[in-house]
Amino acid sequence: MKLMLNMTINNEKISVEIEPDSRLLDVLRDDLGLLGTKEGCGVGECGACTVIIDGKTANSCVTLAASMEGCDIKTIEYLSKNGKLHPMQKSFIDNSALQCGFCTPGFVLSGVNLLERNPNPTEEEIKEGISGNICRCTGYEQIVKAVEDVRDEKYIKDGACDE
Amino acid sequence: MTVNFKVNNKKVEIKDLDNLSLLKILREHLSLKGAKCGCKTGDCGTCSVIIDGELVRSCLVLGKNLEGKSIKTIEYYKDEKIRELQETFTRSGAIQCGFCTPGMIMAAYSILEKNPKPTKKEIREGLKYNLCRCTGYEKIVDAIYDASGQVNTKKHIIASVFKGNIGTSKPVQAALEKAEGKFEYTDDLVFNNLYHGKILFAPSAHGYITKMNIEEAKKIEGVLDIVTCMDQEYWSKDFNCHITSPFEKLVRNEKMFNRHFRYDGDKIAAVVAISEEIAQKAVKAIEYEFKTYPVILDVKKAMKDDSYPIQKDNNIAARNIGYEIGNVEDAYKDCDILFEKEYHTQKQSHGMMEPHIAVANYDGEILTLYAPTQNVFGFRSLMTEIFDLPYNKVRVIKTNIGGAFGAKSEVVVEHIASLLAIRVKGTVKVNLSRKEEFLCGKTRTAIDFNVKFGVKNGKFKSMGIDAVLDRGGYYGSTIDLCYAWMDKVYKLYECENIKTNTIAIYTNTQNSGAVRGYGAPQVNFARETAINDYCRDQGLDKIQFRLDNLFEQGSKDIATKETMTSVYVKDCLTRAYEMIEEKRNKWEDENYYYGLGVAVGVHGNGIGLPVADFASSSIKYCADGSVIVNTTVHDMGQGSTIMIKKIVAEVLGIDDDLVTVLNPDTNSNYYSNGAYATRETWVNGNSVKAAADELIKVIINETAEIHEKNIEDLIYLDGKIATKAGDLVATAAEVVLHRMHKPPFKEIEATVHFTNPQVPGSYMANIVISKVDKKTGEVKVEKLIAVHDVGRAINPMMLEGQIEGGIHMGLGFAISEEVKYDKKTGKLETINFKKYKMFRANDMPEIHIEIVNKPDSVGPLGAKGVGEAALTAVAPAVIDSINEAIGSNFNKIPVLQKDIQEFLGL
Repeated sequence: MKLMLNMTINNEKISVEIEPDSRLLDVLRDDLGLLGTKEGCGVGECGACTVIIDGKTANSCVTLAASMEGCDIKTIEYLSKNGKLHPMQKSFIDNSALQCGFCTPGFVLSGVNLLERNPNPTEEEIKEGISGNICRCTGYEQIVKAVEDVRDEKYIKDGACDE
Repeated sequence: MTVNFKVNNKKVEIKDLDNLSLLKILREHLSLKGAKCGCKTGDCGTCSVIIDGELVRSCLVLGKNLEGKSIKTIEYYKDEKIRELQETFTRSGAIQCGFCTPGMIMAAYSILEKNPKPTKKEIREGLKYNLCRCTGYEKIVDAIYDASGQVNTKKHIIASVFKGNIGTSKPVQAALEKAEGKFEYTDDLVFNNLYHGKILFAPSAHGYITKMNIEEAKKIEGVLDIVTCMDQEYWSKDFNCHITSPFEKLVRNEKMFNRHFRYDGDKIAAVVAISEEIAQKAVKAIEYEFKTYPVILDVKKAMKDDSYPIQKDNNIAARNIGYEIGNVEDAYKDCDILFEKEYHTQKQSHGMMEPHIAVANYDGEILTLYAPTQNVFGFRSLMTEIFDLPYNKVRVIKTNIGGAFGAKSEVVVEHIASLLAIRVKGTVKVNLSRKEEFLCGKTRTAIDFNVKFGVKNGKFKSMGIDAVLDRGGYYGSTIDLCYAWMDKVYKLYECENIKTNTIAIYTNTQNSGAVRGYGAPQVNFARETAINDYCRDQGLDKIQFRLDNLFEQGSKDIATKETMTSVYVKDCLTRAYEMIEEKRNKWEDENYYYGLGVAVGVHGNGIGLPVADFASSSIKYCADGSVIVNTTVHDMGQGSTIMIKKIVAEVLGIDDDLVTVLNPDTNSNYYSNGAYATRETWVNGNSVKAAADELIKVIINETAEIHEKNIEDLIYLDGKIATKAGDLVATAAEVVLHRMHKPPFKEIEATVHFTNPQVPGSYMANIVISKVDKKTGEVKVEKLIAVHDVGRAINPMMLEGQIEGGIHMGLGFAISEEVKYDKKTGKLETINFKKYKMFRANDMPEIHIEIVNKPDSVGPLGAKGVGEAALTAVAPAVIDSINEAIGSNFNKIPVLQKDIQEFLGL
């Protein structure tokens, strides 16, 4: 038996036929071809699969797709939707906050979501805000710096995700 | 609507069929990609499957009609008969490019289901819905006969065997995967977030686009971008599809999209969309207006001064290309007899089973092109020129090729896929339909010849051949082709005075390009037919006349004065005549006229003058004794990978399974000129041979150092290093391991940059017996003898396979393949395999092949190339047999049934 799931992904209304036991991660990657979201552990521990559901970050690998009916979901692909990079993405590049890049989509979304909820976080709050994501390359220093730079408005918003 | 059926004994339920073909369901919905799409019109059989015991072409079957049916595909490995056929096809050399193989095996399966012990004739009859362009069907028939458990008594060519690698037969690389339908061609590859490009072609053969409106097309949901001939962008500059390096100063006079379109295969716009269907819909929605110019299909018309200029000033692409040795006009005065006649050859399509396809990816920095190309470096050169990218930002990777024959040596869709990928910054596939392939694929150059020669005391004294080339609308490889055909005039018959001259003309026909043989089959048809005509006129023995005049061992190339490294063409002819039982030129019975036709020929090895050909190779010994070879050969089923493996294995004395050859990739491989000009065996073969020789020196040096021995005291044999006294010092693997993991920590490898101005010729003689039906005028080529002088055979089975495939192409060139135009509009009429008639299995004659089997002094281990030589002498021998049989004087090809009917007054 298959289910029809309706949700909004990156501001687009989408209906997709899914298996009842599909994970949101699988629907994003396999059915919708949104490959920015990565699977690092499959048990909600690493944050590589982070997406934003109704304004809050979530691990899409432990989210049942069937529970997403009517939800608003944003993935990493949303941020550069108009062909321009989001300030957070630019800041990650400029601060060398990415090395292998596998954790990066999750970190970027966590950073963006943090600033949406708290536009002026302290260093401690930033560390707290990205604590759901694991990075094995960078030692987190540059990632924190990248989020701080965006907080300090070093990057002019160019409207990539202003819609 | 839901349809339930079985595929390979598994239940399948498909919803919302939307008029999908079974082929599409198999490939796209069930991921069973063994069945291939070669035409989509049921003409080629590459998509054959079995439905309820009946052989069908799955592109013609609609999914909604499948309720309750049971389908068998090539992937049904549980079926013993399919598995057995896969094995006999592999073993028998029935597989070259492999694109037709899954369909062929299903056809074979169906033949044997109905008739477990078929005769070879019945097998050929059963295969008539399946086309193959590589093999000439010979080995396919053998494989099926084998699988039926009957004993095949056919003789194969005998080759001298070296230690076991050279002279022994082996199937092409990945033959079993091809038989199993697992070999992935470009359309079988999976790419994420793939977009699709479709092309809008010119509305007629000659005209100018005055207006174009893409607004409606752009509005279609799913359309990402549209590029057209109206755009004035950096990429809309003039280029030449044949450019292989920036040093080539060839005339650049075509654009990606041509507002002034010069034939009906010219592209005027392209769309990229999220699906092929949407892209096609948008192509149809592009509105445009155009004015027409006069259509000129004929070179004679195009040459006239008042002819409408197809290119800028006039219709002359090149003139006065040629060279004279001796003094031809003066020498004519001294001759006993002069002969002069015109000969005409026509265009020919490649007809490879896999149409052009390319996938390009652009990530904002690097353009990566995946294409079944014969020339990765040439394509890289062209992309860097068109898109103003540096070499290191363009990567071309050769994908598996479903046949090429020259088609895939010049860009046809690859630049379009690249442009669309750059525009959308993503991955775009452009896949031509068969009709589009006929429209915009290149063709063999049609050449009109005037052959004149003078004979004194039975020997050639003077010879002049003038040629008029039909280029089509663009310059392309005009100059290369001029030199390619002329080169063959100076290395077959002894004659002190020879001159050649070429003029190349623009017309509104399909653009000419590289097709197997590249000028040689044309000039060879003209010269050999002239000799046959001369002998008939004078009542001379056409075999003896040739034997009196042909090159022999020690003969010098008349143009370069270099001694030919090996010439056994007289042996070829003598042996071919011995092999034929019917030693008379013509005879008849109640129903048929019979004729015996003769022709000899020559083909070069590698790119000819003025540049000596070259190739680099590097061989690295791994720590377990296996080796990796970096050289660039483009395997397209002709067997170049296995050829390289065998040469390296022979020199190093190891099993060829221990040799890996890199797949062409511009990022990792040594530069190569590409896989054409019969250059892979002679040039790359020599280059890996030299690298392997060098590697042995390196490993002896290293062994001497490690074991403190004198270099002079050591010998290398079969992967081991020993003293001359016979004591084992070390295995090669031990030496490599020692050097890599102890100081000085270095790899054991050798690199050689090979070149040699001394270029051999590959020679052959063909004798053909044909019969002409007295009532219908139908020609049946009954028997074909081919004896080749191609040096030492490296892989006899695939050498035979090349010759058989060449014969297939030569037969079509002679009597069946016609590129036809509507005389008024100039539109191509032969746009499918129904109209463009290639020989099918039941059309083929009985074929007997031998080789002279004498080594060439500069060939790798004595070998010479065969790829193009295979078809060089076929057409003139066939036409001679017809002329003998019915007393005609046909001087143009193809000679079709209607021409014979006209001659016989039927």
